[in-house]
Amino acid sequence: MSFLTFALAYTGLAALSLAMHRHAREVFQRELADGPRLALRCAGGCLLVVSLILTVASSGWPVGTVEWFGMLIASAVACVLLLTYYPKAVAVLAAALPALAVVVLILDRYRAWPSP
Amino acid sequence: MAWLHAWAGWPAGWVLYAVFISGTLSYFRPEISHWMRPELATAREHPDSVALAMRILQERAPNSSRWVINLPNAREPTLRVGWMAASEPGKADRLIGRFDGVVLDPSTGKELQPRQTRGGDFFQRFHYELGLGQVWGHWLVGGCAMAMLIAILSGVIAHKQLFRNFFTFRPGKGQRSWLDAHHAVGVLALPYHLLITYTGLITMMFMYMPAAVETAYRYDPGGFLIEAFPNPPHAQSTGRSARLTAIEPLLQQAERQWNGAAPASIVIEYPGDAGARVQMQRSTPGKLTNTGQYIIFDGVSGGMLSVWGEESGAMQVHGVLYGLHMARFSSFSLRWMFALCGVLGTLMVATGLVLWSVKRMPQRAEGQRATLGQRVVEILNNGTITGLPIAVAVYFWANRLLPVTLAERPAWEIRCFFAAWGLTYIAALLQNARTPWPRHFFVGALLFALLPLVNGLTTPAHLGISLMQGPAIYAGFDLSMLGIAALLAIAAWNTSRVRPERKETAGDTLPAGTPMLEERS
Amino acid sequence: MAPPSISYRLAVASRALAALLGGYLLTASMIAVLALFLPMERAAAALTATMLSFAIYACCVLWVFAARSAWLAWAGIALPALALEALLWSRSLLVIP
Repeated sequence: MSFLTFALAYTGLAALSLAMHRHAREVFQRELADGPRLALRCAGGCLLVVSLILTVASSGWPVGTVEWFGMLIASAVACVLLLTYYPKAVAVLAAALPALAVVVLILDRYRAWPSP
Repeated sequence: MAWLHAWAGWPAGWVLYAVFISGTLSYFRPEISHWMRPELATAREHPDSVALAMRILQERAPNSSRWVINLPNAREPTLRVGWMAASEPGKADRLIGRFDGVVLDPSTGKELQPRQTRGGDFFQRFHYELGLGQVWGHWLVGGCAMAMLIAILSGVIAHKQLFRNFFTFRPGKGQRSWLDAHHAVGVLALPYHLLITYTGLITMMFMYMPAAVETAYRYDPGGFLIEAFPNPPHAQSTGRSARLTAIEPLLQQAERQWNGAAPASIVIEYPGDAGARVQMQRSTPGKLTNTGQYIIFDGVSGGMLSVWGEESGAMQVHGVLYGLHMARFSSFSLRWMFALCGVLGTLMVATGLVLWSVKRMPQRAEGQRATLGQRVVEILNNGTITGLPIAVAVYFWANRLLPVTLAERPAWEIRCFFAAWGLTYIAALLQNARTPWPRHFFVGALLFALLPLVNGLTTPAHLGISLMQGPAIYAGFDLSMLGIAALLAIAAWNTSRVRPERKETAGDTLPAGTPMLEERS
Repeated sequence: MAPPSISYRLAVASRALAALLGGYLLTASMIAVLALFLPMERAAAALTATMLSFAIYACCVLWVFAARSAWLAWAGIALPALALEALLWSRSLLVIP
């Protein structure tokens, strides 16, 4: 489990939520056409799968699956709270979190000290 | 199905709320126990713990038949050393002998004297016994857990638009909002709720459903435990003395065997005897099963004799299911996710209870009194939902304020817990329907918010220090108390704003939309 | 809506009894049979049967409340239970001592 896998899980769920009419209206002030909705669903699903694969790769199958479900639930809670109180933030975070995670990952590598 | 969901959830709801709260707290049992023994606050881990432990054991109990060393870790930084008091020669009562021990600070080697308290263990036991003893408590919790399983399954079957409303929450709309909240916390963490309920039943399954084992082993009663849960054999004393092998190399062997995981405890049987055995148990993080992982070494030669805990098939499934419930395998962040899910489960039960009474207490016109049944439900709801957080806070307050030398100190802390909880019911009884909610939540918020202050006034490890130099457990605990206070404050604010919806209905009839059991003969 | 009638309450009580008591006994018989007949070694079979018991019990309860009538609910519980008990009796291993 890492910031990146959590960010991917969040963005995946956010994409799935925005593919629904009700929530697209809250965030974009209009309903999306079928094409973009399908794209959002596919992208959302793919991101969730990538998140699962990355988590399992680092923690192993049994523990990794549990961690992935935990991240899904945490992301879902964040989505629901944001959609209720700050709908615009959902889309903003969906873009910002993965970007931030990648930045953190690069910074980590760059600053990693060789082990003694 | 909606009918079944309401009736399976409701009477069990009060018990389940207590179970969820204590269960969520139990995820942090070691941290709570550590915070509740402030005499241990200065303890820090140290790599030479084993050498220190062996020295103490050689000094204090050279002729003992059994030495136990519990190594320090991040969640419990103290070194606990114990030994079986030497029995009289000729008496083979090794297993029921008197057990003595000391608690040490690994970094200084000093012996520490923690105050008497049940600590976090109280919440763990309360979680499956509710203070009602092994028979009544276990059966009550088990019955309610079964009811919860039914409630979850019937809820899923009844809720056909499960995914359409997945992300929906509409606050401020009275009964509709409670329903949304109940749906949201129920559905969002649905995998967790199903998992925790089923695995919870699994932990006590031999008590609840003995028929399979009892029938298969009708003519061989002890056989099941031996075949299903084999334990490492006990060492045998030979009577010849021999020098105990060095322990440190064994630690390294164990870590290699366990792919880097450190031992959590070391048990040495018959040290100084030719038949001595050294048994190491793996620490829990990272290994999903609950089954203990052991390595047995020969106490004289240091050779690895056997490895225990690798299981397969049905035993492995059982170990994993049990382990998923205990969540001891989890890392720091995963544990917090479990705790988040536990909070969601608590909220699910609470919103369900409120929904039950909000739906069935028709919006009464002013001046119309509630029926006795409605009043009982209101009081029970309020006393349980607001009373338990208050009781938890009072338990922590009692830990800091009760004198250290008080006789039966652990029992008194627990009495304070139950007294505070009971008083909340009485307070709810004395007020009318809506006023207790914001008041009690506010009291709870205040009690939790002031805890770091009480900690600061009664111990040297207050938040200012613990944030800077540690111990991290103290900082984490105090911050969590402030977090809980914030949540209760939000609840207090929310419940003070609710306005009753007015509708004309006669007292006795059920409001429209109440789910009824369908009878189609 | 009028307050619930006596016959409604009786029907509910009947189903509750079928679900709670009947379901438990049916589950007990079923896991006893599973423990004896699952193609694994004895301890594993007993363990597996016990782990499945709660899912079985849940299905019994859901069946009782989903069935069209109280009679059908009882039939769905009692008939399988009797059949399983007969099977166990034939091996002198009745579940209810």
